[in-house]
Amino acid sequence: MMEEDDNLIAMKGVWKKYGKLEVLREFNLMASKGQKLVILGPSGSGKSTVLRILMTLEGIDSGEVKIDGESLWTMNQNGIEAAADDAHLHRIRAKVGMVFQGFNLFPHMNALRNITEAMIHVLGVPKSEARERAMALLDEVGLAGRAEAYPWQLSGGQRQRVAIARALALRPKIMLFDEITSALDPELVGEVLNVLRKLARETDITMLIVTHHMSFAKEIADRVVFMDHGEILEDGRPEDVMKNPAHERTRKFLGTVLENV
Amino acid sequence: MIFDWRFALQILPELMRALLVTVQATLAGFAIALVLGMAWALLRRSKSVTFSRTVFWFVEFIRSTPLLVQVYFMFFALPEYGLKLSPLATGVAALGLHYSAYLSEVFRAGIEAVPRGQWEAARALNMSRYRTWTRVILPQAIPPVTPVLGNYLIAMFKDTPMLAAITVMELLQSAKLIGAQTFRYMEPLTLVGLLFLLVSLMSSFIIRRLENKFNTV
Repeated sequence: MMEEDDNLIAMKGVWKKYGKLEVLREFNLMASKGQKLVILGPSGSGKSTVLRILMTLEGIDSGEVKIDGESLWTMNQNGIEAAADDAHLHRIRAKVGMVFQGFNLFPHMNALRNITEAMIHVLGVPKSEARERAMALLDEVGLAGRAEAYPWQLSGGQRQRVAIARALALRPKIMLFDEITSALDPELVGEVLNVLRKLARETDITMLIVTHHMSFAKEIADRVVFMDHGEILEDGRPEDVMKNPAHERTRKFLGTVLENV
Repeated sequence: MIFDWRFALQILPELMRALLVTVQATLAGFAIALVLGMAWALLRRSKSVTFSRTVFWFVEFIRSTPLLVQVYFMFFALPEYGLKLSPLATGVAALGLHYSAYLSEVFRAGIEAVPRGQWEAARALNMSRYRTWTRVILPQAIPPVTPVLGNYLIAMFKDTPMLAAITVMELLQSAKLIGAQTFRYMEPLTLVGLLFLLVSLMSSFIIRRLENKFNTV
């Protein structure tokens, strides 16, 4: 029990199927506070699904998911295990933030409002304070001058930086990054990764990062997990996983990815 | 028989009064159609399959039966069950109900066109269902379908003569009455046609302006 409570994230024996396709098979993943965890793996390996489950964007078929010691899909109701209600999910979701491959900024709001919207209406931060905090966050991600810009007026890299600021604004303990540079032109990748570097260096937010950038993974991660077919094949320090993988499949994957770099 | 311009001018004020009733009925009916149409669209997304099916068939039923039948039904059949409204109120309610079936499809299309990522972002930001709808989904779903809504407004306007069947003093009824009293139908009916044309053209113009506005954004 003690060990479990130390883990901010605990996924145990999780099965996830889309029809007949088994996306996660008896999947286990623990992550402790402050960890910078990079998840690698070929497409279709279930990496994104792991993040999407943690963000409650997807349910699970069986198994257990705990965030900060609390079960995600069930709750204790007078000693009886019951299905999680909205209030329960709301409370747990407050600990998690997510940044998407496709940005998913609100197109009808400018950068500032994208950030303040949930701060004001979910956290209940007073408007003026939310504005101040949002401006500070925009400054952090290097977009101090673009507060009034709408998403369509921003480059992909800028949009993704606004999206990161938007997620950070809710002060989550866990941040999930789902291939956040995959939709970007190559020359815009650097500015987004720089924001992640800074975040990893300066905060104790637990970060789960799905990415294809090997050198970046090596640099930022204190732990790397390699997934294939819904299972974890490698789990360890970045240099170990990348230099001496235990499985042939990992070697193959690393080979193809490294060739492409 | 030649077109009598003096007579036409003489009956114009009366027809203008009828036009006012027609426009009022259209606007009130459309307001009802907007509210009910949105309600159907939202209710059809209910998690309960039985419930959403029921709404679906109800909407399908309204859409697939003639407006005139519905107008008659509400005017002649409902009072037998104690629901008695004035002809105008009945007509407005029938127009609103009938068109709500069409508008619910328009709203549904608009809602479904909002990318899934918007829902996911709202959830990731821990927004409540209510706020997700009012701040994220509907503000993106409605503007693109505004021109279609406008077209239905014009269609509804052109359907108001149906209300003549239940004695509402709209344009057609008024023209019929003038005809019955003076035995001249040419002038009042021509004017009715022209008035419909005029209002429809003006509305189309406004809608096209709206369309352009949303295309540029």
